[in-house]
Amino acid sequence: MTELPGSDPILDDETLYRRIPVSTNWYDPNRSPALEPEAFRPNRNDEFGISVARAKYTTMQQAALGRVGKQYYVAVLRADDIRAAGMELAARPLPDDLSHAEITSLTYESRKSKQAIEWRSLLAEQLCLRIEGPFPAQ
Amino acid sequence: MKLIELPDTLAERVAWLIRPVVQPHHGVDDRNETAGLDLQSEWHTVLAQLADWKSNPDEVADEGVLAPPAALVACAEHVAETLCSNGVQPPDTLVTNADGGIVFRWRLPGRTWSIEIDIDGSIESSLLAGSRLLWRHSIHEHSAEAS
Repeated sequence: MTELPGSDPILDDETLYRRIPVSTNWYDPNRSPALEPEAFRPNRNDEFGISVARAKYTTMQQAALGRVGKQYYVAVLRADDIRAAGMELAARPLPDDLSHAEITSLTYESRKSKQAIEWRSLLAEQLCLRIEGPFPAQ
Repeated sequence: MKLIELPDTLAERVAWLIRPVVQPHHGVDDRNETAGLDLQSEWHTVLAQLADWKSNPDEVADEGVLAPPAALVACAEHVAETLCSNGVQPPDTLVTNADGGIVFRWRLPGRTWSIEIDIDGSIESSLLAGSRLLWRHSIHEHSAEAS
């Protein structure tokens, strides 16, 4: 059976991108720590997990594309770091975005759990390798 | 067994939430007047940001990011005023939580203290050491003030 592009399992050494709107002030390079946990808080659309993009299927510039006229940063993460912290990842390619994947441990329903609060803090303050951008608005 | 009386007003709720975290003090009225004015001045930036969110909600709205509704921003303004009147320094960070809520956050050596006003009407205070949750408590709307 042919595997759909982008549905292959996420390998431990893969790089992942998480888009961060500039307007939210979740990232401020002059602050310490510079990234706030809200950058990884599931919203009401995140029923099955928060979105990330797989670097093997996209570029950082593409991962930074969002709402027209808005600017975005991109947080860079590694799959094995996320898994080592106890979170799970799943490839969830979309018709127009083969790179789409999710951290399935962070869902809207569980957003207020102790574990979710601790994971968000961990992602923002320890697991995020670096932040790139802001990338120009489209 | 008698249960404790739950705080009714927003100011009482906030005072109740900060009690386990912040050293008590006697309120701005009892303090040196200059110090009280300085603290109010330091909170000005926070109140200005809240006012900006109220007048320009589209500024923070994004894909999956819900701007705080005006009523929630007004609640956050009351929380800010109550914190100020309880002698609390302004937060190091003031952000929206993507779901229409607002978070005040203080970064202290080895500790992070947050007060989150959520879209569901709850106000939660939490204290982390690194990424470990040490303590949290939330109060949900229960009084006639919840209008």
